[in-house]
Amino acid sequence: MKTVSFEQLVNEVTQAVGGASVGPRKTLEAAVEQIRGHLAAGEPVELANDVTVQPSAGVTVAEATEGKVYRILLVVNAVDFFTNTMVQRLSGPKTNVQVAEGTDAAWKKIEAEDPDLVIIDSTVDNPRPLISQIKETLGSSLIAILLISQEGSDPNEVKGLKTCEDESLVEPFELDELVGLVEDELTRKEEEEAFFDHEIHFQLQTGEQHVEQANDLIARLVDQVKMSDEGKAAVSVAFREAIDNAARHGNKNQENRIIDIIYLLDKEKVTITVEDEGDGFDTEMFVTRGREGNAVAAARERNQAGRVGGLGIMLMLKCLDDLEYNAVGNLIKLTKFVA
Amino acid sequence: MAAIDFKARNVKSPEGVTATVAEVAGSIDATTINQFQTIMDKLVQKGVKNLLLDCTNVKYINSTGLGTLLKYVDTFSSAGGNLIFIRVPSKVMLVMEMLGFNALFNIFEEENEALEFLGASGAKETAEAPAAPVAPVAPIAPVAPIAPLTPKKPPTSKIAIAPPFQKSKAVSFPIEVECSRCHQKMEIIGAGNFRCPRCAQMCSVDNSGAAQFPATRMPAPVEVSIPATSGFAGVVAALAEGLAVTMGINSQKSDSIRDGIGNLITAMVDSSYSGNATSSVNILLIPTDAGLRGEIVDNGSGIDVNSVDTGADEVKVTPHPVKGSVYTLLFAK
Repeated sequence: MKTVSFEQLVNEVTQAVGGASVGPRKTLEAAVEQIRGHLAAGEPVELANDVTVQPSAGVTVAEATEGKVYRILLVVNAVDFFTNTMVQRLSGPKTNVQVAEGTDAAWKKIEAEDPDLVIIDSTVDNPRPLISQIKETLGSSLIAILLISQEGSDPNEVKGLKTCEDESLVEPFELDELVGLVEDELTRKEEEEAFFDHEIHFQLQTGEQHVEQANDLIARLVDQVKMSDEGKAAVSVAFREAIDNAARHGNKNQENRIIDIIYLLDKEKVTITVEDEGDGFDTEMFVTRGREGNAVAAARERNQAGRVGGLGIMLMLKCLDDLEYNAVGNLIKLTKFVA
Repeated sequence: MAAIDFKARNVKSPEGVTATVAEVAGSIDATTINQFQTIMDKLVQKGVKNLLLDCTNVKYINSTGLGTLLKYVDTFSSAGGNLIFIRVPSKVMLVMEMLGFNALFNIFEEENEALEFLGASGAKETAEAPAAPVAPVAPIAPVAPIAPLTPKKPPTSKIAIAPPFQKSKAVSFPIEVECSRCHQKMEIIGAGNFRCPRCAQMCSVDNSGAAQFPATRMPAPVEVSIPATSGFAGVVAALAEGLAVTMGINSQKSDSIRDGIGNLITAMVDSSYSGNATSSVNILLIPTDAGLRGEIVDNGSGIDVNSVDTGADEVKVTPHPVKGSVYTLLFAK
């Protein structure tokens, strides 16, 4: 439902009082009358940037002066009865819910309004590019995303490279369930904002094309970081080694195995974790060899044995400020300081 | 399936040096390494002695690719030839530098520089020789003054690369070798061809540890350390001008180099060091084929070098390993 803008309200009130100077009381009464009319028709009315009167029962005047008002954007294909029901249920003293029809309109609202949470309805065709756009962009990546999927769909399915939403809900669901998830996500988002500047979680099937897409994605993410060109290139080089190891050694190039990646940027550093579904390996031996070994000698030894590779960990150590594996050896954490 | 594209052609320099240039397009990594090795093996089998790998269109080289490149550097070297890299993109160079392979590889910006190097290293004879067997090369005399390069003379005055199978007087690596040009001490980890990390002078070390340097027509670099006061900026500026003139750079450009170096050092000592004469500033001026390169170390609070009128064709700022920055200026010929 379209929100009645402040300018439209002013025009209506001006017309209602006949454009004459009728005094503040008459003007205010006319304004209240106009607002009532719109609310009765189910139309929200914007009184100021942070004050919108919602047509739901129980009211909802969101006042910025009374603490934070969370902005929620509901993305649908077209407004219908269920959209209005969700808007009414989610609206409250601390929430301002807006609706966008289609992903293009949604991105424009995201850029203009900077919402805290985006709920993408199951009626939206192909929501993945919007999720990627939100999460890849430094200024919007911390916006929480809740994806509603159609009945029977598997929210954990990964095809190609998938930028992950923060939460998902499969139809049918109870509205209370949705409200609970929204509250959790808004709390989580607020907590994470205190720590991170950029956060993105993505998963990919093991395959050359998808690995190359992941390399390109990391390059785009790092390009947004304020650090030297050499530093950016070093992160990309190290990531290439890590994901190549995950695909070849961890997942044995099996396409049904998933590589899971989390990219985090805070004030001090870029941190990337790369996790595969393999059995891991003796990381201590390889990392020690990488720290203490001579790259040229190691390469020659490998070449003489008729084998290739063996320099990946050494190269990552040179590129990064810190490199850690989990105990199993199927998750690597790459750290590079920004300054 | 990722693929790599190779286009090979033969080249011959005016001095008679012949080589094969292979233009490589794609990434050299785990997905393409088998294809890359197959093509390289074919070139070796065909008897190619000197291969110039044109990396203009190499998108990326990962650690697997790098290790394999070393294998072929060794393969060509063992056969008395050379594998040389030209037009290496910065992304690829970074990977080489991270593992220190750039000191081991022969890397040139352009094809003609690589051919000139081959000429200086006596490659004409090896390039034109039959594919196999390679005639043994006489033991090299200990490092001796090398006569200026005269293209049509026999290679007695040029660098000779000892084939690895000549194992007499083996030495225990690493060894320390002093650069003939800038006198920088270099740690050499094994026999092969190297490039001085400071002045880019080429160096060939054999199994006995003997080092040979090619003749050079460039004047020696100038290295000075001055108190951080503007009074000394003019001295360094005059040195830079003198060096530029000695290199054959025209007077207008030499004047511009003098002014640019002078402006930078003045700005640096005034802003970064606040004119503190107890601090010192290190400056290295290196003549190269591309022009005069200046490396100025700023251990002070730093300046925005791009805001200074240096007149340089390229300005690069890199972190100093200990403190501050290194400002690298290139004044093209």
